[in-house]
Amino acid sequence: MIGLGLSITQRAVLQMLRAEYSPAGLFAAGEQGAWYDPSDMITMFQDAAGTTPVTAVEQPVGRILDKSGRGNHATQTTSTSRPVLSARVNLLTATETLATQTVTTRATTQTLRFEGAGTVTLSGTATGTYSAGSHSVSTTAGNLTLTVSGTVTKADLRASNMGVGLPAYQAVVNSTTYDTTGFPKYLRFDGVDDFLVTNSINFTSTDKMTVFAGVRDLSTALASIVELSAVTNTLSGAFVLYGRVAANGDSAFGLNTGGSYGYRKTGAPAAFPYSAVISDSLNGATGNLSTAVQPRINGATPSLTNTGSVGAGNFGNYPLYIGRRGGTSLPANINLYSLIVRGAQSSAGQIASTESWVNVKTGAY
Amino acid sequence: MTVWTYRAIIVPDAQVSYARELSAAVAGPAGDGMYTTPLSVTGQEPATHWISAGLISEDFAALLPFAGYREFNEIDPSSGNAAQVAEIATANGYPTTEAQVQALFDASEVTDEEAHEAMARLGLQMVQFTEPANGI
Repeated sequence: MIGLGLSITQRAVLQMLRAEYSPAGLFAAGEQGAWYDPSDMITMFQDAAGTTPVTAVEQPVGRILDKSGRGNHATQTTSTSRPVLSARVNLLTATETLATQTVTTRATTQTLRFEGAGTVTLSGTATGTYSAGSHSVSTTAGNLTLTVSGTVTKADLRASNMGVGLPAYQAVVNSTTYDTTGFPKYLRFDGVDDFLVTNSINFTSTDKMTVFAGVRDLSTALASIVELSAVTNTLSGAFVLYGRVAANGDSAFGLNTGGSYGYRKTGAPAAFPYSAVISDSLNGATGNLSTAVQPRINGATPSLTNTGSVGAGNFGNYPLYIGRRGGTSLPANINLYSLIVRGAQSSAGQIASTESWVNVKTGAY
Repeated sequence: MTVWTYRAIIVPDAQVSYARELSAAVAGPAGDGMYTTPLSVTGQEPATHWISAGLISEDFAALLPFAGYREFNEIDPSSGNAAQVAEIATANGYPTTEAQVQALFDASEVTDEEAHEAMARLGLQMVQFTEPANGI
């Protein structure tokens, strides 16, 4: 009964008052920012106006409420540009008793697992004939046909690094009906035209920012995962978190303060696609790129290379774009598990605790 | 309750302005802002086509042509309903004709393929990002 009638902010504070950690504490002193939590279905609506709630996976998300209490809700009016709530990891359908089918795969290492006395023969993006058990299969990008002979049950095909601690089998009936228990929910951005955007968020009273994101990057294309302003390169008081920078990088962290733009870039990921908990501590007061932009990936500081420079200055009053630069370019093909933007400096303890919280939602490491 | 269905819709550059206005007139705000991702054979400008991909209402989808391309598709191909589209658009203050709508339908690709699959089949790719002078 206690949860009934409470606002989202009240529920977040209630969670904070219990023993478990909650990002609500990051905003307890009135810090400007936003917190989006796709695992909390009550915060999402299928339309931008917020009239039709999201009630199940594979529905579009036209509005996601900000749990920080600042009211910076993110929306998308255009139907085809809305991300979709998902918890799907298994590429197959009708998995309880598998029939021959074709699925689309990426170039990565997959795990094929099933039970029963039958066999599965792969053709297309991978080849081979398999019997019951768990098998590592390297696929290329394209169509993979699984030809079933005999009885094959409880079949699961997923990227081997899809997530840590997930159930080994996800029962899938069809593209919209599947088991979600134990599988993290995420917003699926298609890398074509999906994005969410807020009204302008006034960060002009601060030169500090901390960004947390739980992301699975699915594409090798340069993408804007989250960006304050339409384009950080030219607008002072803005930041951007990029996914997959050219062929040799997996993330970059851009900042424009004092009218000058620079970014720091990591090296290539060990495997691709990859999941990551990203935090980015930004300090517009330093005027030095290396100290102004201090990112962490999966709880560790990556090796970074610098390009450009930054000046000193506060952040601006811009919309926050999620999944596409300015709503027009650099579309991100990502699964977004969590996003927190806090207009304040965060302590080492706050960063570590929040990264852990985001990782519970993401299963990155 | 809205029932959603996935579509990737690719329209030629020559008709993109009309396609944008028509979609907004027929689907309202949910159809406004479509076809903003440019495509070309080389991945370089100029764009020859534009794409929208995602969930649309079944009511809207029923008006559109449908290639029914996927191998295990349970939906029959359709040539769309240009007459009804023209009627709805005109009633919503955007006068157009069945012939104009049909010409757009004939020049467009509407499929339930994943967007990148559809692009690849048609020999198209997204126009690549032009890097600003001060880097990415």
